[in-house]
Amino acid sequence: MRYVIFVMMLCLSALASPTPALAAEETVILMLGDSLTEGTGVAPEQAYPALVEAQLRREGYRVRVINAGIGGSTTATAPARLRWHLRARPKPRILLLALGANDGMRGLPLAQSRKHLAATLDLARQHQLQIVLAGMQIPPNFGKAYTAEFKAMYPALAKAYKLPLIPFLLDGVAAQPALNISDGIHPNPAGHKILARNVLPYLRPLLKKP
Amino acid sequence: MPLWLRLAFKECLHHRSFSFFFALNLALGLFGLVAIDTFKTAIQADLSLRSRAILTADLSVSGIRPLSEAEQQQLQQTLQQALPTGAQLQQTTERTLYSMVRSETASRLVDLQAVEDHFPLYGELELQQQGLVNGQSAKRLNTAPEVWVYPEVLAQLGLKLGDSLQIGEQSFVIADVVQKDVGTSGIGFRLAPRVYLGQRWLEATDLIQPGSRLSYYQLYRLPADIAVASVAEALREKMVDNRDLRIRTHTEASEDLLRSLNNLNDYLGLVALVALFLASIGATYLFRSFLFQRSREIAVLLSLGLSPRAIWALYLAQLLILGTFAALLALVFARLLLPVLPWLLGDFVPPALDLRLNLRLFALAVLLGLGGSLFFCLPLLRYLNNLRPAVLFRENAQPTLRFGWRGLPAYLPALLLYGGLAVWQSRSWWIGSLLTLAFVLAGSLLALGAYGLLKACERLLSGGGLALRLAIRSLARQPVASVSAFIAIGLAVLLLTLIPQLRNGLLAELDYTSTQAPALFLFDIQDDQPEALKSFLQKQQAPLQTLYPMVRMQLTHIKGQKLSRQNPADASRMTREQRRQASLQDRRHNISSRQDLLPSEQLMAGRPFSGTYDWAREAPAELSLSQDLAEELKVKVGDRLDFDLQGVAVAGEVANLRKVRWTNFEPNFRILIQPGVIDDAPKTWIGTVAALPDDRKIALQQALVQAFPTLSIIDVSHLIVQVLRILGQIATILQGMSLIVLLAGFAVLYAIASYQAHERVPEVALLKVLGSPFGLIRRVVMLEFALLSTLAAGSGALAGLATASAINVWVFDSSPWVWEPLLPLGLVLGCVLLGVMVGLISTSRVLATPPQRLLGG
Repeated sequence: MRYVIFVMMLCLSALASPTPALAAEETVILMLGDSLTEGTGVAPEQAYPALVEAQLRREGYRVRVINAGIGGSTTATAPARLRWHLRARPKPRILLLALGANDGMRGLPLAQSRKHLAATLDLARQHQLQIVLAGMQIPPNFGKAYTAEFKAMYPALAKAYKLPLIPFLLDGVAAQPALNISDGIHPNPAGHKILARNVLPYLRPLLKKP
Repeated sequence: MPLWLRLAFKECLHHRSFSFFFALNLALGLFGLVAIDTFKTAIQADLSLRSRAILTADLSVSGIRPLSEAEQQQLQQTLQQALPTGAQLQQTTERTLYSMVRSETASRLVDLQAVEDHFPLYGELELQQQGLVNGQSAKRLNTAPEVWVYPEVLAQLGLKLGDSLQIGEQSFVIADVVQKDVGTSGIGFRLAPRVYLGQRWLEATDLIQPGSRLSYYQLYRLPADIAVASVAEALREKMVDNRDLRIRTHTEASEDLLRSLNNLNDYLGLVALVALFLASIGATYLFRSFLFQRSREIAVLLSLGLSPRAIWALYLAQLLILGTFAALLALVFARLLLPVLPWLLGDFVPPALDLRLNLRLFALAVLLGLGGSLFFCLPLLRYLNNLRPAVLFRENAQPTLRFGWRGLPAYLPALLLYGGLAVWQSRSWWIGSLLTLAFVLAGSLLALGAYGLLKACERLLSGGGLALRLAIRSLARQPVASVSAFIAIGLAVLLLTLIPQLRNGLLAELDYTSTQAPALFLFDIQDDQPEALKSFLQKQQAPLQTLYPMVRMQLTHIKGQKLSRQNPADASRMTREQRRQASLQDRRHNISSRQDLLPSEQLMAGRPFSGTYDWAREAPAELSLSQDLAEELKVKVGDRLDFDLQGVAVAGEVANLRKVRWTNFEPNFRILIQPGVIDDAPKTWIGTVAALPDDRKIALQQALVQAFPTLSIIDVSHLIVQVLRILGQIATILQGMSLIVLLAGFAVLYAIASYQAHERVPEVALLKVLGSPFGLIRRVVMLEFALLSTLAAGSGALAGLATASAINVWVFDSSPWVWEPLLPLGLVLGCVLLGVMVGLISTSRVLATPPQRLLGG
């Protein structure tokens, strides 16, 4: 009973959320990520999920993007976070999975990361979500073997699950001082515009114009 | 030698007991200041050494890219210009990066520190084989492919000393194991254990390629007498366009906690001022008493033709002689006692404590000795003008000095002297002025209290026995003397109550922190891990101390108002204040949930949570906000806050405001949400593990990382040990100061009582002449002193307790307060006893003297 009421409340709260218009007809895109998605160092409105939503709406798509980025999060959090969003109504129809960079930066065993990502993809599949996987890379200073293994994890998963893969989310932004805030890791507003451009081509094919 | 100077020396020598007591009293106050100044300087040096060791330099210029040739040149030029000609500048460079290193069987993440020959410029490393190393110690790392590693590297990769470690494309020999890293009291556990290697060999690893993430450091050791902050400022001005470079001084690099300890250290000087202030009041009373007794002799000198100017010069010279003597006495005390103090203070003495007396301290003592005696006693000399020598020729009359309120403005220079000293000691205009104002306010309140209480006594006790009536009338007849004695006694007892309470507050804080403070913070505990983690830690005999859920929520609306767009600036370029401001504006909050308040929290407004959230009611969830956040967001109990919890809107209503003590290292949250709301939300947990011995702690961390690879661990025990040590030093110094203040306070009380007794001589004599029984006279004197001391000391003790409570709330953040009711009670009792005793002794002398001598014979 409590679960039913909880789901009802989530539905109500989703209706009462800041972008309520035509909620029933909107396609909800869930962007599950880390600080790159959350937009560390920039305003939420400048982070790429908000830019993608704005651009798709300008193009006539009825979409709502949920920025489910949490700074510092690893792949271990992904299944539980996805479960939470799957309870909301309208249910997300598209999942952009952009996690793993923190696993790499912390030198976590990649078998574990692969397992967590796979569990998330399985869960998304069970709920008939369309999935886009965002590829990540870590800098060469982590050593050839580890960086290569990390980089290869994403194409392998995309192949196994037959998913569209953004080869590298930070393509054109990583290691470019002009496009990052001074920590050199997180994109600045200009960097986020490029991230949005990297993501958009993979989302458009999954959407229909009304 | 002029006559007045000869007379001044004679006065000092002839009234040895006055001279000695005056100087001793002032010397006590000066000794307090000298002792505290020495300890303050020692603690400051200790903290400064620590902060230098944390940065391993005075100044660092760092960035995530190497400096260009032009930048290097500009940097060198600016530094050379900022330094005096010929000054030596030591420098070294360092590069740090994270990398995966390998043994034959495993790999793991390490924090690589590539250093040059001169590493570290400050501080030292303790290595298993080589012992303590500094200065040229890293030379070996640059000649051979060798590394020094943290012990975890060996344990986790299954390696031992002498084995090889593969870093990138280069193999290194493990030459030593770091047991104590530079800038810490051990080896702090961080994201990854450290591996030290030579800069030369970093290239051979082939890890530095386009896109590699490294931090580049230019580290400088400046000559000892150079103000590092101004050099840093000059650099910042010159390199204003190179915004991605970070210029930091060692104080900026040290933790906020060390900085606040330094601030606390600044306030220690204020305690010393209290002792000096008391001693000055004592000196004023002693001198006043002395002048009063010398009235007749002064009148005789005047009538014999000595000019008033020469009389002034005489007593001025006497004050200068006594002031200098007091300063010398204080320095002798310091010379004799300071070397014994480390032995008394035991562990709490900083290792770098330098207790030698220097010229600065000598000058300070002499200046303050002279200043204290002159500024406080000089205003009394103006009363010499009121002395009429003609009275000498009147029958049954005695030329006496009468002190009145109109002399009060003459104490303004003394007040300014203390104000200046308070600003100098606290290194803050604001604190110094506040303290001076507090003194003036306390004095004024005590004056008002004295006046009111005397009036009330006159009215209420007028129906009492003869002795009581006489005692009250005697007090009321001389309001200036009574009220000024009341203020002096009141202030002395106020300060005597306050200082030990401050010490207790600090000790209570210390005790609470040392018993409650955790050793390890555990982050990123996944939602399905708490049970497994609990049982794992139970088995390891290191149970979780606390465990709280944590969700990240974004504040969207305050009181129904949608939050406007804010552009967070780049945090790494901000000053601390700007960072704080930016974090306040950040709408993302880490929020936890629990029903009860912690011992370190206090409910300030509203009510506790009503229990688990009732989903059926569809009402907003109850929120508990820390008071500081509520102030920043301008919300109160009953206001509505809306959040976005991972794409889901959550409505909340402020149910209560909490005061949180953030100083005790317990994890806490600025926003708590009613239990039951976030149960199903995606969350992580944060936990703490209580203090453990170092070897067990390292083993536990390794076991935790193995069993829960996604867990993040931060070892805060070293930081806590440092903080506890310095707080301990400060508490011990306060303890010593309490003793000095107590001695100075009782000296003041004695001075006041003896002065009051002298002032009462004509009255006592009159009563005696009028034939009052000696018993009645004794009772009158006893009651008079008892009444004055009780009222004044009682008011002072109450004011002291009130001030201590206020300080507890504002300074110690309402720490568990240890009241010592016995201390103020004992002080009041001691004060009354001392007053009555001194009064009775003086009276006995008067009673034994023939009335003719007393009444002008």
